[in-house]
Amino acid sequence: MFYSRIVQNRFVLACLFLILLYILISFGGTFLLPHHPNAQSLTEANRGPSFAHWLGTDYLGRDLLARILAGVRVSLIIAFFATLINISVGFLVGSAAGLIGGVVDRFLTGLIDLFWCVPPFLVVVMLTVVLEPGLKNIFIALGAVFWVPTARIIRGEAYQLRNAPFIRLARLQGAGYSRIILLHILPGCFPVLLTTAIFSIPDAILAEAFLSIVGLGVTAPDASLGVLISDGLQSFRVYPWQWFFPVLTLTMFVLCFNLLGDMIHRSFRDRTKGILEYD
Amino acid sequence: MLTYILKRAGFNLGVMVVVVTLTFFLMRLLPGDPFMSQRLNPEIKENLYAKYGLDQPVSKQYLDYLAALARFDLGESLKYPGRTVNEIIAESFPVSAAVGFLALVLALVLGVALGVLAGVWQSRWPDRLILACSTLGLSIPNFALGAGLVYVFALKLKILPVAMLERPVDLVLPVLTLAAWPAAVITRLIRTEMIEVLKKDYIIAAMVRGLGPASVVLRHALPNALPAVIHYSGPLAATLLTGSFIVEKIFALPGLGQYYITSIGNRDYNLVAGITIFYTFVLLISTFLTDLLAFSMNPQCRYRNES
Repeated sequence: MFYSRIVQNRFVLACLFLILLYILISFGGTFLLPHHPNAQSLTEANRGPSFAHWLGTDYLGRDLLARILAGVRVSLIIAFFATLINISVGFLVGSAAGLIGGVVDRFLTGLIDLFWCVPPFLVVVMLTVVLEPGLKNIFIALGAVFWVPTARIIRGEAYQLRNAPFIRLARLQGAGYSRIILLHILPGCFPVLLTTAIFSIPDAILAEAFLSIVGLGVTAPDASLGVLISDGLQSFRVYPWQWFFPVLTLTMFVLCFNLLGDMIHRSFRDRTKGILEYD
Repeated sequence: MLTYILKRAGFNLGVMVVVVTLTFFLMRLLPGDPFMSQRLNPEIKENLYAKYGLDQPVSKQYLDYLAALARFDLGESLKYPGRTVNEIIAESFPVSAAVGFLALVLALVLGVALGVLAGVWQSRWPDRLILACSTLGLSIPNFALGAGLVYVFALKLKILPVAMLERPVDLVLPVLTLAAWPAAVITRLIRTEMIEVLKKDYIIAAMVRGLGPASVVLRHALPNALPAVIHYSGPLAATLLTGSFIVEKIFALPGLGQYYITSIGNRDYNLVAGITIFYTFVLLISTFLTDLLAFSMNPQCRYRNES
C-alpha cells in the first residue's frame, strides 16, 4: 500500500518511465541500428550530426548514437553490480555487527571506521590498477568502497531492532542469526536499503566516468559513458557534439535517479535520515 | 576540552599511521615498477633501485620511510629525478589551494544564502526554484559543467580565457566549476535545518516579542542551522583545497590533483604516498578545526563529538 502511494506520484512515474526507457533502448536499441558501435570508417571521422549518423561520428568514424547506446549498457551493468555489492555487503556486515554485538560488533565497526578514514578514490583507483581495468573489476572496486556508509547505517538499524519483541520471540523459538537477519532484519531495513540503492546507482555511474577520464575505464574498443565523455573531453573545443551528447545522456540519467531518490527518501522521512549527508 | 583535544590528536595520529602503511604497501603490490616505461638495461635499473633504496627488504624500506616521515621528509620523486616530494607539493599546492579556497568561500556564501531563502519560503515558488536549481547542480558532474563553461564563455562568447593562469579573472571558470556541487549540497543542508529550526518554540517566542523577520531569521534561526554545514565543510575543505584532477585537467592548472593520478600510473611510490599523506593531513586538520568551531558555537555538539 505504501509503495503504491509512491508510484502514484506523477514526478516519480516520469522518472521511472525515463529510466525504463534508458534500459530498454540501451539493451534493445542496438539491434535496430544500422551501425555497429565499434565499426570504424576513417573517411567519415569527426562528422557532425547528419541523417546517416544522427549524433555524428567520433575520431575513428564510429557512429556516436550506437556508441552511446552501447555505453549506457556498460555503465548500467557497472552501476547495477556495484550497487548489488554495496547493498549486500553493507547489509550483511551492518546487520551482523548490530545484531550479534560483542566482539563481532567491535571488529566490524573497527573495520568500517578504518575504511571511513582512507580516501575512497584512492582505494578505487588502486584496486582498479591492481585488478587491471575492465568491466568486472571496475564494479568490484566501486563496490569495495560503497558498502562502508551502508554498513554503518544498517548497523544502527539492526542495533535498534536487536531487542525488539519480535526478534526476542524469534530467538526464543530457536532461530539462528542468519534466519533472524534474513527474515526479520531485512524487511525492517528495506526502506533504508531501497533509498541507498537508488542513490548508489548515479554515484557508481559518476565514479565510472571519473575512472574513465583518469584513464582506468573499460578497455578499448568497448565504450562506456565515461569512456565516451573522456574521448569527448579531448576534442570538445573542435567537435563539441562528441562531448555534448554523452554528457547529456549521463546527466539526464543521474538527474532521474536523484529525483527518484529524493521522492523515496522524503516518503520514508523518519526512517532514512542520515543516508544523504545533506537533507 | 584539553582531554578531548588530546584524544582527538591521538586518534588522528593512529589514522595517519594506518593511511601511511596502507599506501606504502598497496603501491608496492601494484604490478610493474617505477622504471618500467623507460626500457632500461638491467644494470642501470639495479643502480636506480640501489639509489632509491628499493633493493632493500620491504620491511627495512618501510621503517626508513617512517623515520624520514617523522622529520617531515617525504623522500625523492622516482619519476622526476632530483625533485623531492616536498618541493612538488610546495609548488603545486598553492595553485590548488587558491582555486579551492575561492570555491569553498563561494559555495558557502551561495549555499547558505540560497538555503536560508528556500527554508524561509518553504514550499513557495522561491523554494521550488532554488530546490530545482540545487537538484540540477547535484546532477551535473564537474567534467560536464567545466567543459560546458569553457565552451560557452571562452569559445563562443570569448569573454574569459580557455585555460590560463595569469590574471585573477582566469580563475572564474575553474572556481565556478568546483563550487557548483558543494553549493547545491549546502543549500539543501541549510534548507532542511532551517525548516526544522523555524518550527522551534524560541522562534515563536522571538516573533511574539516583536522582533522583525530579518532579526528572527539571521540572529535566532541561522546560528542553529549552521552546525550541520560546519560539520560538512571540514571534509569539503580538504577535498577542494587539495585539488580536483578533472578540473585541473580541463583548465590545465598546474595543481596537486594532476600529480596524484599521474603518479599512480607512473608507480612513483614516494610521490603517491607523499600526496596521500598530505591529503589525509589536510583532511584531519580541517575536520578537527571545523569540529572545534561547531563545538565553540554550540555546546550540544560536544556530545556528538565525544561519543
